[in-house]
Amino acid sequence: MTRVLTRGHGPAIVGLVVFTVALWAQTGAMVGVFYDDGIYVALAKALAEGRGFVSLHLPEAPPAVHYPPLYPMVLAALWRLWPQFPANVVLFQLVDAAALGAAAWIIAHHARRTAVPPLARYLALTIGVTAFPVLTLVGVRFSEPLFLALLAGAVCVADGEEVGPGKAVATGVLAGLATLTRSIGIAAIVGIPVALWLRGRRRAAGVALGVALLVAAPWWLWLAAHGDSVNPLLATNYGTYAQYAGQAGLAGLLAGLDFTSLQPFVRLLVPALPTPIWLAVTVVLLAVVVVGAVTVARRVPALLLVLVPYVGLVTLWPFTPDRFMWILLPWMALFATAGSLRAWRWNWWGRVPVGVLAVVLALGFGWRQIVSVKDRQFAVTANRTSRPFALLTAGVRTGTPETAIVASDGEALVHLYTGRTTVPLFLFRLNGRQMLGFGADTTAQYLCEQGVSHVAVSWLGGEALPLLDAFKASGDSVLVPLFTVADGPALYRFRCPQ
Amino acid sequence: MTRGRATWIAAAVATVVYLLALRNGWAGDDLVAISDNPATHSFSAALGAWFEVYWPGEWRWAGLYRPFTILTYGLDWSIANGAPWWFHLVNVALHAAATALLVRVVLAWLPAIGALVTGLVFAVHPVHVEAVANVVGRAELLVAVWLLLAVLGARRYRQAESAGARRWWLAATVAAVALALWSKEHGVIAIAVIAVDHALEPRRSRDSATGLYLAVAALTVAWLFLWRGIAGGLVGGGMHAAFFGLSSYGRVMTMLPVYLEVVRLLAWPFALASDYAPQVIQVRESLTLVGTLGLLTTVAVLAVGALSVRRAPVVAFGILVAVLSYAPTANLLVVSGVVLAERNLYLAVIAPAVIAGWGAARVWDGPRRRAAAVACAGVVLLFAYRTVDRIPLWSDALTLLVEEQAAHPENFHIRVLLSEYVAARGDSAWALGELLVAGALFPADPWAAVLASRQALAQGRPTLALQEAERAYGRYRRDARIVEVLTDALIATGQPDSALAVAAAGARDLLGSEMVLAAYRRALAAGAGASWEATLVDATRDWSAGRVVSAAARLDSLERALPAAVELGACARLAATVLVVRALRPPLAAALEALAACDLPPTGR
Repeated sequence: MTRVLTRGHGPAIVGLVVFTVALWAQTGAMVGVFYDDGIYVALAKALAEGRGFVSLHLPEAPPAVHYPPLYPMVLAALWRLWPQFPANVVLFQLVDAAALGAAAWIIAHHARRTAVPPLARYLALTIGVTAFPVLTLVGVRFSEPLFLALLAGAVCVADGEEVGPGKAVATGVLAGLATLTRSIGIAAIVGIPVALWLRGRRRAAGVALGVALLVAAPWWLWLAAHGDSVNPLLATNYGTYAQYAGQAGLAGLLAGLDFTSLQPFVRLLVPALPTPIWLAVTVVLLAVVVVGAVTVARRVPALLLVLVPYVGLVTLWPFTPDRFMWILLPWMALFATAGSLRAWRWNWWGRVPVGVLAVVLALGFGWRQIVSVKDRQFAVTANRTSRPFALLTAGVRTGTPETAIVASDGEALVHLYTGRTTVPLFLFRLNGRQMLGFGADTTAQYLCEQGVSHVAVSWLGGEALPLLDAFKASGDSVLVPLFTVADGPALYRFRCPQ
Repeated sequence: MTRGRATWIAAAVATVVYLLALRNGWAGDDLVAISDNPATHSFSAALGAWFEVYWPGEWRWAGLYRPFTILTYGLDWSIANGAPWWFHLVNVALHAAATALLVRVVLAWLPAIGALVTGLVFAVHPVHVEAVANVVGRAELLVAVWLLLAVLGARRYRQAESAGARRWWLAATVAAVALALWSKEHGVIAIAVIAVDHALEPRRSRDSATGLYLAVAALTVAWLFLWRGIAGGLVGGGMHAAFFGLSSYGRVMTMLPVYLEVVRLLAWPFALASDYAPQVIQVRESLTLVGTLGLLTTVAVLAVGALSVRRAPVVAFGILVAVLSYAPTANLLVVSGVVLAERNLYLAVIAPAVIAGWGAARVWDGPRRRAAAVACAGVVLLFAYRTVDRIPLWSDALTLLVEEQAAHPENFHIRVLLSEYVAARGDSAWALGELLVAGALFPADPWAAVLASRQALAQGRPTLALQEAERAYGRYRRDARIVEVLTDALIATGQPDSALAVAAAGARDLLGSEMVLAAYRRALAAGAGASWEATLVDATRDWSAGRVVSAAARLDSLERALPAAVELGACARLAATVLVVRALRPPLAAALEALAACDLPPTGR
């Protein structure tokens, strides 16, 4: 096995293993249970049907300016190939798994530049790419696998021995495509030219920057042209990132410097321990990762110089889903392995903390990984969320006219499975780093303006209860229940309060 | 004898021996899969069905996925406007191509004369008739052609001198494997077949073929995922009647004699059958003498394969490919939809063919050359005669059914198929007769009894219908068709209360089954059941069909007119409908439980 790994097939084997695991990790959950996944597929549907890059599910289908277009374009191509939704989701799943496998392959190929022994680096990378949070990501229709493949490709090319014009163009194209997949790909547009510049490849740096900007420019032009076309009440979920950051304000951005964005990592890796021990272990863990990053920095400078702005953006961004960090797990695993091997060579004062860390990680992450994989817990949330939506969409499909406009807590999902025009039921805005609801009156006014005829919620609890109670209080006929399921979904006929 | 001449002669013989097949029409599964299947009636329709399961309509449960095979049918239909002779011509051409490719493959180990004998035996082997002379056998022919091409491509990949050539042959081999997979599920053995050929090749290549194996493995994994995604829970749903109700041990005990039969068919292919159902194959639940013989034969075949790796690698190749190609339908680890089918032995015939070729090559240069030539010619002529003799069996559906019934009167399944055929043409009396005989031949199969019961009901013979339905119900209760037919038979014989009990129990066991709920409703109507119970059943039907708003409205009306009391026995029946009431109107569920004076078991949603 070692011979096969060292003879050059290691990265491909890692890619195949990850691809297989990613396919196994797919669930039968409905598309849209994690909200963003539904929006991606709804955008893909709009593109596939020739309607343009618009939020097809919303009334008047406004231009889409929140989610970059590349992932929806990929899904749209598959949709054209097989236009039967939801049967065609199997193709989306296949491509997402292939993207994650490709990402693993490229990262493993790139990791050959580090001095980490083959078996250790391939094992670390495989564990990193198949960690249960990543399996959750690849199990739903998120753009992360494609983004990771493009980002890894960009840094892999940029860190190559000879970066001539051809490779400069290639890395620029990949960095631009990564930005067209996730806006945070701009970290690559910044980091890669800097890395090339610092290596003395100034012309290549300029070419890479120019090409990346050229590739990403159409999207930014689209934003400039259509950024204001979204209803301000929907700006949080449908507006541009500039509008989003504007809502948070400078204070909201700077508040991120408490590094809460790193917490998911530590929570994932370190088990619950008494606070002093937990802090000590966390410090050791971060120190080992930093030592590892420094150890490999000279061999993979582009990677480091992309990850620094990436983590910086995640840190400052006012709302950061954990998944932004999960895709860094393979590289974190690689750095931790490099740091551990380095520290091991320092004698007892290096070996003891590494040994302790290994035990803690085995008890923390290792145990959770085993349990998650054994019971497929990484898929539990998606499957559990899917069940009430299955009933709800069946009810909407058979219980509302085709012209109905439905307000829902999963508007993209309800649209995809029923064909109804939908709007979000919950309207939010940012205040610093806090999400605040707009209140029942504003929401009711918005629903009336949009011509909403029905309200569909997947769960009669949480945010839904006070909002629906407020609607009911505003008039007897505002909400007429068509069905309500105990501890489950509900569908109402909606009339504007007089 | 040159290598090229050996190839052409074998291919030509494969063509000539099957020319009679051009006179055949549609027979057997051709009707469902091709002549009555709109997806095959044009190239564009076939292309549009690329992501559809192989069998259309009610046959979808078989869970097969063969889009490339469908595409070739669509192309044929577009070219010949549905004329069967063209489909048969393409099958014959594919058989000739497979024969030629086999000759090319074995030329790596055998001299031209040995390869020729291999090709000739393969070309005329009578077991092939089902695959070649029946159009739906095309899937076997296609998968064989692509697999053999993949083997040859992989060889070229391993032997390629330049990186460019290696890339080209890698792409070609992967494409061949992809087409094999899309032709028939047996394509999954491609990686193993390539590995067997690699391990046995006379001149081991210095370069590693890991890249090729990784590419083929990735493709195979992707295809398996796609197959499962498209066929869904249908995969493996087509369990053969012989295995119904059998334990894993019983299944293996049933299959052991079948393995003996497989070896017999490959070595002595003169007694043939188009359908190997009970009692052509007998269900056995313990080890029998013939089972022991099957086990010993299987072990012996594997031992010969292993022992010949060094001495006669071509024999090892033939045996291992035969074992690999038979494995997916061996019913050892997974249950398939067939116990034994001659078409599934298409690739397995490589084993006797290479053994013959290897034997001929051994004696060709010795003093018994003439005797060897006579023996080979005799075998080929005998096989060819049996093949030509058997081709007309597949000329049309009725010929196939009637002749097979005459040849194998013990086969219950042929009688079921014949009954369906004659029933579709209006002869219901003949159909019922065949079904009753089928039931007598193999009482363990509940589906023949269901068909007989339906047929008897249609003919106004309720007592017979009830007898057959009870036989099916005694065999298996958790199937909607069985519950429905028994309910209807009980209604027809004037037993509405029993019908109600059966339907309610079925509705409880098979939550959400529209067929059972409809039967339940008929039982209520026949017995003038309580209106509250009918409302509950209607609400449950709405709920199961996703008409949740309608279900809620029905429960509203029931809530307004709650009965003062419910009769004895209602408690058991409430279990079938309590799910919808608990979900939509929990207080009503509590009220009904109180009226029926029972605590119903919790229900999941």
